[in-house]
Amino acid sequence: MVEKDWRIHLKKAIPRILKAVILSILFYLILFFISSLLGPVEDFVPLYRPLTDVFAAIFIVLLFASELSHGTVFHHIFNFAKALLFIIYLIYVLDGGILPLSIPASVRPMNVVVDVRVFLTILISVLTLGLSKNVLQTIDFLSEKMAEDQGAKTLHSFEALKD
Amino acid sequence: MKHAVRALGWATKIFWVLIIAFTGTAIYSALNLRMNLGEPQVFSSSNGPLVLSFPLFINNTGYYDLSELNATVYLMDDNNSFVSASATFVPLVPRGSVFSTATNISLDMDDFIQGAPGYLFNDTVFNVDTSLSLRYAYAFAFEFSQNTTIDWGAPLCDFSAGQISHQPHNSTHQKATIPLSFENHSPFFGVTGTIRLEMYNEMNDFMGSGTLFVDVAPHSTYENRVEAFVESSTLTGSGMLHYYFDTPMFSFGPLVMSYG
Repeated sequence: MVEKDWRIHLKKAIPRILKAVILSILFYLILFFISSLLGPVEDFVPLYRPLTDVFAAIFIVLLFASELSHGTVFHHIFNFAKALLFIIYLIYVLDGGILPLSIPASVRPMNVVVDVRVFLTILISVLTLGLSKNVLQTIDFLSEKMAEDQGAKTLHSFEALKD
Repeated sequence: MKHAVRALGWATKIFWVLIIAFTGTAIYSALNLRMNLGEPQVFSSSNGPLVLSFPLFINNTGYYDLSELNATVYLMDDNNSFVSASATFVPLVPRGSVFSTATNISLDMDDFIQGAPGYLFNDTVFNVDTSLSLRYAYAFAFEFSQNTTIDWGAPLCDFSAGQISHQPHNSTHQKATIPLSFENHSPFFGVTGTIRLEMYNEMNDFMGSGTLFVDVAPHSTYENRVEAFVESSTLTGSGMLHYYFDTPMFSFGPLVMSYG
């Protein structure tokens, strides 16, 4: 009986694991593609490379855990953590929105300061919208779960009363 | 709750599409933008100020406007002391337009020389700090800054007076002859005007004066003699020579040198 339960659980878990692995690989490939596109700019943003490696590692772990815990409250918690991590990463990698760069030129070096605070604010606003969606989803999930439990309890007591 | 979540989901998706589209077009447009901070140019007229011009050319072929464009130029001497500054503000360079302007620093030579007479006699290097700030697509602000140098050639470089020689002119006066030489290192203007000499003896009594007309082209050497008639009774073995320079570009004096 225990072996059968274990097999059922595994059967249910395999597609989730596969989905989580595929999504993680897909995310890694997208990040790799973006990094190769941003290759020439990397030298001017000193925090980009070390932060992106750490961010990618944590994000993939969260993505994997989120997909694996689909159908539980942890799925929403991991999604929330992902969105929060992305916000923190953006603020760090863009240095709060002001990027001082030094462009080495053949004749005279040029200093450039890029102020992306407006753009960063827009990005964070949209990400915060995503965060609030996650919070609402979590509340919705928990209230549904509570309603389900309440319903099951009522049914159980009704059946007990009937017996 | 479900509807609110769905609405937020759609709103987030729509915003992401807009952000990605905006970022893509902004990067594409920025790559099509042509901007050139040209080499500084120097203009001079015979009697006007010296103008240092810093040209700026923009060809905005992108999808977005450039706004709040501010070009600033600071001119400083070799000790980084402030000499002059100028700024140009352009409120808007619309998309698809070509725009060119220049930030000009006007140097009134008289004021300039009065503040630091050394510029007349010593070559130096001016530091030029140029900065350009602008807002692109109303979302990204850029500030470019660059340091350059401009060589300053002294118009009266190595100004020197040789040994005074005097000959009797008449019974009361003598003709003093003083050899003068200098090099006009300025690439911007010639030295055309007069050099007036006043001679004072060791008791600081005025002895006499002489004037010399000069016309020295840029990057050329000048050698001549200035003659002054002095009273024989006042002539002493040593004293002071006061030189006054008067040209349409600048007036300066006295430059005091001793003789004897």
